[in-house]
Amino acid sequence: MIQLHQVSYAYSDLSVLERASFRLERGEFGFLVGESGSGKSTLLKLLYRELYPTAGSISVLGQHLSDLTSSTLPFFRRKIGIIFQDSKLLETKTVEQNLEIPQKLIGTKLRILRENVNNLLHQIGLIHHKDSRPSEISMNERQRLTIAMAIINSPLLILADQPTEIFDPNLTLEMLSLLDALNFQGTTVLVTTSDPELPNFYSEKKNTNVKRVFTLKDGQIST
Amino acid sequence: MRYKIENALRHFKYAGLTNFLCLIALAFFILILTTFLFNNSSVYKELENKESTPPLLAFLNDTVVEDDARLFANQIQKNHKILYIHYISKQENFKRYEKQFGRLGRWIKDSFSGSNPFPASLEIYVEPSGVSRTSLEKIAYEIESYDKVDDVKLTGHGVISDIVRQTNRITIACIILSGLITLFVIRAAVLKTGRIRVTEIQLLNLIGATRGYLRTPFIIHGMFLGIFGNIIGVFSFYILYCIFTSQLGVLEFIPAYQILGVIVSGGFIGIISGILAQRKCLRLI
Repeated sequence: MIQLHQVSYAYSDLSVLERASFRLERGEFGFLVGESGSGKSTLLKLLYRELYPTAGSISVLGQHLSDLTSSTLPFFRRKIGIIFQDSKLLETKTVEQNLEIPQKLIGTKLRILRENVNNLLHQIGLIHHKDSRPSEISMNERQRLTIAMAIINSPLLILADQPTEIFDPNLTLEMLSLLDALNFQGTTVLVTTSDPELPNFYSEKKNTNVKRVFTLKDGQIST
Repeated sequence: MRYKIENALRHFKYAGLTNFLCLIALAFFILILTTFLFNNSSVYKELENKESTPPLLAFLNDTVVEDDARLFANQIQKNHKILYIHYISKQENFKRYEKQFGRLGRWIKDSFSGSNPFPASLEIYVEPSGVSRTSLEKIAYEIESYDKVDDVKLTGHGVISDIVRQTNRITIACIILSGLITLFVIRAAVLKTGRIRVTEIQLLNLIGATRGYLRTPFIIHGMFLGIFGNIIGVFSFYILYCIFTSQLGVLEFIPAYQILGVIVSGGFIGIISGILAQRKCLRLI
């Protein structure tokens, strides 16, 4: 599902990844733990090909990323749900309109789109805010909307960039449960976090086994 | 497709004031362009009207008989710039004046005690490429130097041809300039709109929008500004034409094909501007 082989990446002189390798199988739920600035977001950007590695090869969803062209890249990205660290919500649109964007992009019929959006808004508890602007809702609600935007197209893989950093333990648990439910349905999930206790916290609270925890330190990934 | 169109139409809503100013600026420059086109077509019509008359008229002395006149015509026709020469006898000239001025022609003849005062003449036609005020004056000067010629008259062909040439040059320069201005103004307006939408474009790009999906709003926006800016410009000129039509007299409005050309070119330049703006904008993300 995700395979990094000897991947290196550097911003100018600053090396972020050095011959990093790891593998996450289809249907797995993985945590990527690393300190702030260790390169977690960079790694995710490499996985959805916003950035190119300076060395090594990356394969995601059975696709070698170096083989992607500008015309095939959008269709590759549609199979991935990305939960951005900085929300990336459109402030000029309502909550409902924001959630419609990914569905419109894949050309979902209007009737089905309305149904999907309403269902998901109910699910994430934002139905009463559907006509509000993102600036009018709380940070928790914004993050929930971001997650909803990532999952609305039923992606094969979810890449979540520190989705629970601003949440209190209860909301963290709620959000991870949501991702866990998707994982249970077969979606592969990779969550980055700077909190090394998060995987254990989640395992203890939900009484489940987190299959994989990766640690990113000094440009290297260890299991 | 529905969402693509919706996305493109929503693109206009951003930077409304910029779009409005862009349309005003385009309309202004197109108003200037159409004024030049109007001037150009009017001058062309004037030239077309002149085509039935010869550029040079050489009036012969009364002593010159028809055979001599024809021989003289053959002699001066050796000048390579002269296309052909048509001899008009005294009687024919009189008939022409009579036809043109009616009884006035007969009164003139009567006032000259029944003799025909109109001279025989040569209608001299010149190669169209050689028609200019200077060249015609030169030919006229040469012909006038002959004893058989009483006077040589220029009918205004040279002046009109010179004006046509100058107008052509100015109009072509104006077309190029307004094309460039249109390109620049539309590009700036579309780019500004694109910059306002940069976050949205970034997001769309990351979640799988194709290049076509991102590009279409820019192209349609550019095309819209180009077409409507030019329509407003042409319409403004039409209003001015209607207001000043009494002063302009019989001058006709710009031909329909030129109006269509202006509007279609506006749309075409708009598309190019949209593509240029989109390329710059997508480089920013």
